[in-house]
Amino acid sequence: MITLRVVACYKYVLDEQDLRVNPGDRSLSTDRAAWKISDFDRNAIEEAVRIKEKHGAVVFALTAGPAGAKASLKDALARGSDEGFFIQEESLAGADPAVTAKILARAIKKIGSCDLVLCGEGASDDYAQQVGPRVAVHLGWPAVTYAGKILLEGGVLKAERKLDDGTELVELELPAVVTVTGDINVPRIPSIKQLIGAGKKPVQTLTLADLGIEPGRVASSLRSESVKGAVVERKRHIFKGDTVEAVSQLVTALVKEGAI
Amino acid sequence: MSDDKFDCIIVGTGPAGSAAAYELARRGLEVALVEKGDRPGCKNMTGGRLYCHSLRQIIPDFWEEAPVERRVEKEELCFLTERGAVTLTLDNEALGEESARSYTVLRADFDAWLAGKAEEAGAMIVTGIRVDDLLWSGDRVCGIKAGEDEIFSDVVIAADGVNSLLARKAGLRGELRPEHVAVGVKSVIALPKKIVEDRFCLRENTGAARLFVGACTKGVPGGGFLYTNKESLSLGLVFNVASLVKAGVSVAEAVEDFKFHPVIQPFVEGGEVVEYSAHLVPEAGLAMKPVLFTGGMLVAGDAAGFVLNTGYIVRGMDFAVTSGALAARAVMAAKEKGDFSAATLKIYGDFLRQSHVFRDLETYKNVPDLLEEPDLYTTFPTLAVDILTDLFKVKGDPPERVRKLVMRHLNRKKSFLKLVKTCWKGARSL
Amino acid sequence: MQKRVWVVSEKEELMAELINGAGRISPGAAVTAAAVGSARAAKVAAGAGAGRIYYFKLGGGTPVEAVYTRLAQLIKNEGADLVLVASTRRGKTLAALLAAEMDCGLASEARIEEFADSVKTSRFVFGGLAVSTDVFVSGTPVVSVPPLTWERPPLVEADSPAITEIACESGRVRVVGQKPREGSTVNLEEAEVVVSVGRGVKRREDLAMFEELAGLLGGVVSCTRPIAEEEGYRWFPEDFYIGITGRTVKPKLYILAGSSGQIQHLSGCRDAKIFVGINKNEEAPVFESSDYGIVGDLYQVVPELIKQIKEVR
Ligand SMILES: Cc1cc2nc3c(=O)[nH]c(=O)nc-3n(C[C@H](O)[C@H](O)[C@H](O)COP(=O)(O)OP(=O)(O)OC[C@H]3O[C@@H](n4cnc5c(N)ncnc54)[C@H](O)[C@@H]3O)c2cc1C
Ligand SMILES: Cc1cc2nc3c(=O)[nH]c(=O)nc-3n(C[C@H](O)[C@H](O)[C@H](O)COP(=O)(O)OP(=O)(O)OC[C@H]3O[C@@H](n4cnc5c(N)ncnc54)[C@H](O)[C@@H]3O)c2cc1C
Ligand SMILES: Nc1ncnc2c1ncn2[C@@H]1O[C@H](COP(=O)(O)O)[C@@H](O)[C@H]1O
Repeated sequence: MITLRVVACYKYVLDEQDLRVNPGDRSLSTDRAAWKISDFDRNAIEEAVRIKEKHGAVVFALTAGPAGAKASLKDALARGSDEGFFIQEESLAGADPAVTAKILARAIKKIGSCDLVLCGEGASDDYAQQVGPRVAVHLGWPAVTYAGKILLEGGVLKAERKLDDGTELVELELPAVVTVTGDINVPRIPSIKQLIGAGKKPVQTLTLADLGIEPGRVASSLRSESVKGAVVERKRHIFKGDTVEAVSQLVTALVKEGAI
Repeated sequence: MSDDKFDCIIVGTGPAGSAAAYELARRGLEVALVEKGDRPGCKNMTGGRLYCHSLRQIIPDFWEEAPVERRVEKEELCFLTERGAVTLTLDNEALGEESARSYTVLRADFDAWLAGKAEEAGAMIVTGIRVDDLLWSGDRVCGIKAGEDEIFSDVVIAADGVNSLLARKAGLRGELRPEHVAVGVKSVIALPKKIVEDRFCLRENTGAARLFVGACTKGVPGGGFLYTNKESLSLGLVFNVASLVKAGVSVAEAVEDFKFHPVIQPFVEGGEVVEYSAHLVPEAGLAMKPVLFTGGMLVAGDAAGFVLNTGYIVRGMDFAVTSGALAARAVMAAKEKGDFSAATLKIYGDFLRQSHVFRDLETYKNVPDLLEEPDLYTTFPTLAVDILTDLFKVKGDPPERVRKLVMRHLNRKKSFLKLVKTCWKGARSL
Repeated sequence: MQKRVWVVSEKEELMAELINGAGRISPGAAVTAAAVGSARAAKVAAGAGAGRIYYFKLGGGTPVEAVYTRLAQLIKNEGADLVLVASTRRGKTLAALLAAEMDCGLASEARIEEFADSVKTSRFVFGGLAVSTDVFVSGTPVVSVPPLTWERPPLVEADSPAITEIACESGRVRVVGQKPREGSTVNLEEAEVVVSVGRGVKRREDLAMFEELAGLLGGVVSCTRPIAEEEGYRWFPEDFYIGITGRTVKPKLYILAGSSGQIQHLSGCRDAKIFVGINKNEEAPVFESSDYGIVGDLYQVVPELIKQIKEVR
């Protein structure tokens, strides 16, 4: 049996929980913010690893981003991927998914003879939900989005798509690009052995030049004008202590507001 | 290295652990540095003042590359009453001399940097993993257990902080005793660079360190601190736990009152609290020192109780760095011999005795006792503030001779006797 | 000059909404509609006044997204100043495929801020914490638009010569089955009071107490994403949770109990007039964005709340 070659694409993003909005100009302050592998991408990696466990496969973890993102590979590899591919490109910080997709497609060609590419349904930061389908177009492969369940039978992939009005069952031949929803699986937390093992797994760092991409070809057709905090100001009257007391304070307030 | 055997496993990415890992890794040993937090430093808090002498022994001029905040060139000691204060200020560039300098640091950044140095040097850093237990072969530690996994090594360095689970598991020390620890609380208050510099009259990149004795701890032995960072202030309080419990003082309240004390409030005005944390500080010095080693294991930093709290200075990070580095040296020595038994590792104790760690703790060993003096926190600050207030108040009343005025205050509540007694005690302890 | 706007959807009500919206952002625009897989949507487009309508008739087993290559050709040939796609999940995927095929930029789930010489859009990022404003600098601007961005005119179906039928046969992806969702009759969007529950609720039975609370206030019960989607929960229809990837509500009163109140959830109820958070953990982010909050165990707070509301009635 030929072993499958599966690519799990993940984005290394700022943890939105750590971001705060500067009161004055509503700009975002990111200095105290940690980085993480985008939430649904952890599902993508986990699904790739489950396919490996079930059918036998080589799992490539692929991410593109500024130098700092390289740190994420250890995590990705500890989650069960076999090899890491890091495309280093500074301009990718906050990039247009169109640009990202072109670069990833090239990288996937470079990895070579891949059967399946898994992405998250959307990245936690921009949640554009574009990169997966776009990569498919650039590779000339079919795409299945919002998969909540996938099954491999021979070269045929069956997926259950989670859509607005219900689920849609689809079938297609590999190779293909599939984006997964957050509930397709529950990602395992890497153990110390996996983390230590990750340190010994191969990682390739490539530049756009290595992928034969001349910068001009991946210019963005969108120019970001601003990113501003959108938090609503609330009164923040918090009642604690005795339940009966707290509740009656709340009820009084709600009555005063005419809410009940 | 056989698949999961390391030369050394170090638990904790505080200054002690990272310093040890750096020293071993750059000498080519296979080192794993294990941290329960998701990132080095993310779980750590401190007043954030680093005395440089020890780290520069390992990484000369480290401040050129490390994320340090401000070089302290203004030292202030402040005796607080409920509403007032008497403050001694020392401005002296000499404080910035390379040999003696100290920097304010933010641990999240600083610890991450130091751990990063260890990683560059070749150490394998493993975060998000809590070490649960030690592995033994006979009377010798031979690795660690985390969840289901067992990882083996010739030697384990426990740099896991004041609460050191590992030192306890190894039976090197018992549970922490309340009288042996202080609890520290700290908030980081964000303010624009310019405002920080203006409020404390600082030149760019230089900083001030203010320590407080008196009302801020509500009579509980301990003190307060206010350090300047680049674009924030670190404001905190340290209380002796035993007395805190006895006095039934609420830490949360004390913190609020401290922030709004007329002497503090103008400094923190308009700042946003971006970080709040609480942490224990060992403060009994040698009195709480555990056994520092056993077969296949060494204890460093807070885990060994290496903190000096003189009331006007809290030092732990420099002790952590030195003890971490010395633990590494002991491991090297043991490796040369190819013997990691207690008999060989005991050299760690000798190294410590020859270092500032024991010398300092020895010198100040009576300080903890001195700091128990309740008058330090009540009588004396009040005395100082009252005397000076009367001196400077001009009401047009018939003047009182200064000597008389001072004596009048001193005779209140036997202040004079107490003062003499404490000064004598202080002279002996310091 | 007259703008050429394309509107694309597989759903008739969204089709009508987009055509209405196209008129709003560029009065008198020449609107071309692409109705994917729904003859009715094509008729509605005609009724709503689209100048030209393409009805993509999908062969058996052909997914909506399969039309992207054909659609790209048409748009290239006929030209467009703006392409609006209704952002259902199918719509968002179609938009991405289309944009890649046309080598164009795409703003997902965005609103149009400006449609003059250039197109300016704004959209939520970081789970709704921030708004990103972007300008298209090249290529045909493609924008997927969330439902209810513009109001929906009553649906008028018209047969029209302007409707061109294009048969589209299955691409490489074959649809082999559909499971329609048990449509919840409750109308969240219209509700004046919404009581939402999160992982703080231990058992499904416990929802009863929230039903009672909602009943008292004449409201409906909804939830956070895990409660609708996650293994072990799935207590609500999957499309029934509030948030950036779920439903958006604008009630007078929003009560959120047993939820940490992560930004992704909050951005689905940011327009609530009054926000009440109930959580046993004082540090929970939910209190940051509450008008009123109670720190306490929902199993004590909610029954007490029910009791006291009954009293004031
Ligand atoms: C309020 C306050 C103010 C202070 N001010 C100063 C000051 O101004 N200057 C100064 O020099 N010192 C100061 N100190 C003391 C200083 O913070 C400590 O002495 C120093 O951090 C000790 O370093 P360490 O590496 O030994 O331990 P720590 O810095 O505590 O590091 C221990 C590490 O081990 C990790 N860990 C613990 N258990 C496990 C486990 N089971 N598995 C895996 N990882 C584990 C922890 O997460 C932590 O990262 C202050 C302390 C406090 C609380
Ligand atoms: C790209 C992306 C999009 C997302 N979109 C959405 C979305 O649209 N909608 C959405 O809801 N989520 C969304 N999420 C998930 C979201 O980030 C949070 O993970 C989720 O909302 C958390 O749900 P929860 O608050 O119910 O659970 P938790 O975060 O686990 O919160 C449970 C809370 O209950 C409290 N609690 C426990 N017991 C009690 C008790 N007895 N009494 C009182 N309180 C108690 C706990 O203190 C805790 O704060 C999205 C995530 C991502 C990455
Ligand atoms: N820079 C990147 N590197 C690797 N994969 C990415 C990157 N950006 C996005 N992806 C993948 O594409 C998915 C959708 O991203 P987006 O279209 O930005 O919402 C993510 O969940 C990832 O799986």
